[in-house]
Amino acid sequence: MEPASPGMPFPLTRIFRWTASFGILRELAWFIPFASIGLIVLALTRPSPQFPAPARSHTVIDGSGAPVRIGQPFQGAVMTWGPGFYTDAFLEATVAPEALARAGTARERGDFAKRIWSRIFPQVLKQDSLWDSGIMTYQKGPDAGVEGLLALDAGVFFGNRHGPARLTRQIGIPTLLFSTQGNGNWDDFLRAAARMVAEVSGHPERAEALIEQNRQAYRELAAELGAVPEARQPCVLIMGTSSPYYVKSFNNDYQYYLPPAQVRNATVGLTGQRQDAERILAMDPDFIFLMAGGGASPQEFMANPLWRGLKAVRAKRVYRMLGARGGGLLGLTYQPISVRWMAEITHPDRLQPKVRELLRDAYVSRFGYSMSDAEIDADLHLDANLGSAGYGRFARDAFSVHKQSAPQ
Amino acid sequence: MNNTALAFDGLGHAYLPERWIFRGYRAAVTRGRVFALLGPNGRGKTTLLKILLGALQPSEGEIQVHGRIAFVPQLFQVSFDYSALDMVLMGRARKIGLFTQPVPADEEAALQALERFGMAHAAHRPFHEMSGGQRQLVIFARALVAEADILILDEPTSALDLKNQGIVLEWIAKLRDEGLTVLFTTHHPHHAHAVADDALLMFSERDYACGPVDEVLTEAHLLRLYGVPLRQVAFEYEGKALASLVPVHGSLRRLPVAG
Amino acid sequence: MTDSGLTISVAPLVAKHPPMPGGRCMPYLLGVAVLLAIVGSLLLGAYPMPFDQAVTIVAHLAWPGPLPDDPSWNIKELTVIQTVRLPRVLVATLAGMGLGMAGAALQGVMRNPLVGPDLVGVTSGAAFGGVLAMLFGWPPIGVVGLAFVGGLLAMGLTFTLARLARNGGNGMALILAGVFIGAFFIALVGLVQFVAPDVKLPGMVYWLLGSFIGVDAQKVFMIAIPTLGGGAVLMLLRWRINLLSLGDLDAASLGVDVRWLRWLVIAVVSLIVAAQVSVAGVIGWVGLVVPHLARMLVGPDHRRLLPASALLGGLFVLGLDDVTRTIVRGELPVGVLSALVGTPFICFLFWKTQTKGWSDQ
Repeated sequence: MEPASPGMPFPLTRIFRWTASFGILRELAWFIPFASIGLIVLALTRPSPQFPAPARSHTVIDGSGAPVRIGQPFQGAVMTWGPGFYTDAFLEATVAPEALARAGTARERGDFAKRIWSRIFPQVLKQDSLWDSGIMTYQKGPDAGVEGLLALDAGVFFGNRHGPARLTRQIGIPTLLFSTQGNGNWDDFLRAAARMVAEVSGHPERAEALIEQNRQAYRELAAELGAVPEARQPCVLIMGTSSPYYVKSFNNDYQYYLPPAQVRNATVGLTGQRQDAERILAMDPDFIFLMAGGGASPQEFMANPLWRGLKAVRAKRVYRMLGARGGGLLGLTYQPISVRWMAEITHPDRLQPKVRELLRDAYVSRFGYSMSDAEIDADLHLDANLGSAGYGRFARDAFSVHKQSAPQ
Repeated sequence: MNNTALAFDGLGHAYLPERWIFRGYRAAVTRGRVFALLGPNGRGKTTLLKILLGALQPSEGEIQVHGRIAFVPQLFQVSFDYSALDMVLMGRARKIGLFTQPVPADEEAALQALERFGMAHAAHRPFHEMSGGQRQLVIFARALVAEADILILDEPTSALDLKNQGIVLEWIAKLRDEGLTVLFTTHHPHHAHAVADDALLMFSERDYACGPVDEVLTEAHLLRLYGVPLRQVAFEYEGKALASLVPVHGSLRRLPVAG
Repeated sequence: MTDSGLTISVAPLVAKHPPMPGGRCMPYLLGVAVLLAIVGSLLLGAYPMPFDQAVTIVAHLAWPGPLPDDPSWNIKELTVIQTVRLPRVLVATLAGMGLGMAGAALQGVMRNPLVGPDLVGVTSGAAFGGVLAMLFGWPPIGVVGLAFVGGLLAMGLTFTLARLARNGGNGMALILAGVFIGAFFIALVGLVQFVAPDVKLPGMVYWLLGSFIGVDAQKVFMIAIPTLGGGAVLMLLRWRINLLSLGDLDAASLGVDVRWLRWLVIAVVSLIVAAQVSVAGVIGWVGLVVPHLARMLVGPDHRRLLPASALLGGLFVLGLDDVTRTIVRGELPVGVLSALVGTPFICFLFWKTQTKGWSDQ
């Protein structure tokens, strides 16, 4: 092997020859890029950049139990990784729409538009800067759009341990995680969320008031309903309308609905989330509630020859659930009213029709928002449900027209 | 020093129990000579080759190999269009470590081997674009580059046209003259007759004849082997007295009887 | 050996300047291109940052040593480059390199240019492991770990099944075993998706489509070690893979232990593929298309093909990820993009080159 240039000092030529004889030079074509990339990987062992702690701060304990220092004055909240409920919870507990720096993704905006908060705080719906214009949702990946989020100027990020909140917490941006909502009590989750949010905004008493009102509403319902012996509790099924049929079976998040309404879950014993028609026919529940947000209406459902044999269909006891999508996961204010709604349907002889009044009162007294009759009609799905048994009690002139039909 | 390149004794193989291809075969291949393996299709020549190459364990018998073997297969399939030089370079496998790449010395050797067979000009042409004869020579070069003592060829002439058959046979003789031991299978007895020094005729399961070509490649043996009578024919060409074997088929052209 | 007496003066000339497809420099060019692409990708993204600021940060990160105390950038900008972009760019490059190498090696070993890295069912096994971990609600590190285990499990099952065939080391037995095991695990993936609660299902679906969202330093290490380590092994074996594309008898006669070598290459390939799927989901087509592209560039000799395929794969996937991060604001999963780009490309390849680079004999 000839030296590369005649002027090379002697030891170098020897090294050159030695390496060449091992063919190492031939390996360089791949070795250099591999080694370089390995070195770049090592750059990741640098310590992560850390945000400095805010100069003045108060500490809030978040849903995961971690204490987080929120800077003062409060700079703005970003909602990340949430099925949109977090924005609702924030507005409900703080009544401070100006404190939002980011409310959610474009898809969440569409859902938000269907819920009452978009009417109480229309400026939140209209303000483009609050919503991510991309089509990302948290489901596409935990850190989808994290660069855009980081660009926001905000004092605190709200989120869940699966989302970009994980990253923001890692680098020291004040991040509050909502508690992980497994199949536990949704009400407890809502209460904890409200407390945390209200504390951030500096008005924890607002959350306490909401929570007390929420509890009070359940107490009043229990008092009025009395104790219904289990044998006389009607059997209720909450289901979707396209095959294979989605059923809210006993080990998921609808369990909070049914006990306060004192009804039995028809799907006890089933483990699957989806069942075929045969199982549903075998269940033969007393009442059927269809998922809100889409699918066949109660009229269509009852007209379907497939369901003709069900006693709920024969007695016209098929209703659409309240809520725009998902049904029932409605926040501290709406939740007890929604439960009362189901109780009024399933125990019409025990309860006076009060849902409309409760709805109107709740939002006027707490948020200064008076729902019109047409709004309440829409929220209660009056046009879809009016053809079903006993739904007249929810109509505007219910006091004069309320009908009774004894449960079987 | 042992003059035997390859020897086997009591060799037998059965793919299925009790279905022996051959049994009790015994032969010795002398160094520096050409050894032909003859037998009709299906007699087991390829099986015997696989055993000699060590790719197949014989059911019984033992083999001794003194020296390194290089193999030239009959059919050549490559999935990628390597150049002729790439193909020859593969012959250096034994000399190149598991995790090392060929060095310039290897490529030199490959190129020189190609030159040996007059194929250096085509070193960078794709292998699969070459004619059958050229491919055969490239594979010869590959066998050579492995620096083997024994060359084993599986039907080296079967796929070739007339001219290339001659070229290959001449090369076999040349390599033998240079000291290589060559073993090849064929079902052209006149090829064996032309270049081989020794031959093994595989008649049947237990029946075989082995020995120098003059003794073994007789018309009687060949009739027994192929079921076709062959005649050794002598003729003169350019002042040389030559001989070859000719099969006597029923369809041979008849000459009118003189007088 | 004595020489034939022919003139030998031809030989040195031809040896010095063999007409190599793509030129001698191609692998080096590709290497430089990959490194430039990595640096360039760090400068791209959704966060509004002035270009020179980004360059400054990258330069400081590249230089070993602590960062300056009073920098010109703010901490969010540094975070974006160091914590958000750098891991993602690295994973994309490594995934592409791994898939390129795996595809080229596997095509060489199986003597078939139409196989991809999912041959031995590793991809399906890793997919199963990943969705299973998501079903259990494990954190991301658990998903990666179980996916990796799933991939190796599938590889083990494929090998075992292939050995049961009469001539165990035969390529055909391995391909069939891989198809069966792969199909089995895909069925299991379907089962997991069926029993999954609706809230978890979209996450699974998106993960299966393959994307680099949400990678952190941990995931980078998880893919870097098998890819660079296993890749090094493959690189060292790259000439031997040439030998494997001969017939089994032929290679054996050259002194190559075909079976053992084939198992080794496939095992290393499986390791690389399992790591890639566990970190980033299923990215198809890259392992099939990139080796063909590389073959067009540098020819079929695996000494050049393997590095070229690795580097080209890195460029390809990194490029796709850059596109999905910046131009396509919807964060299209890389697996989808690679199929959308790869399929017409390979059709074009076939039509244009008439199967150049491999022969069907």
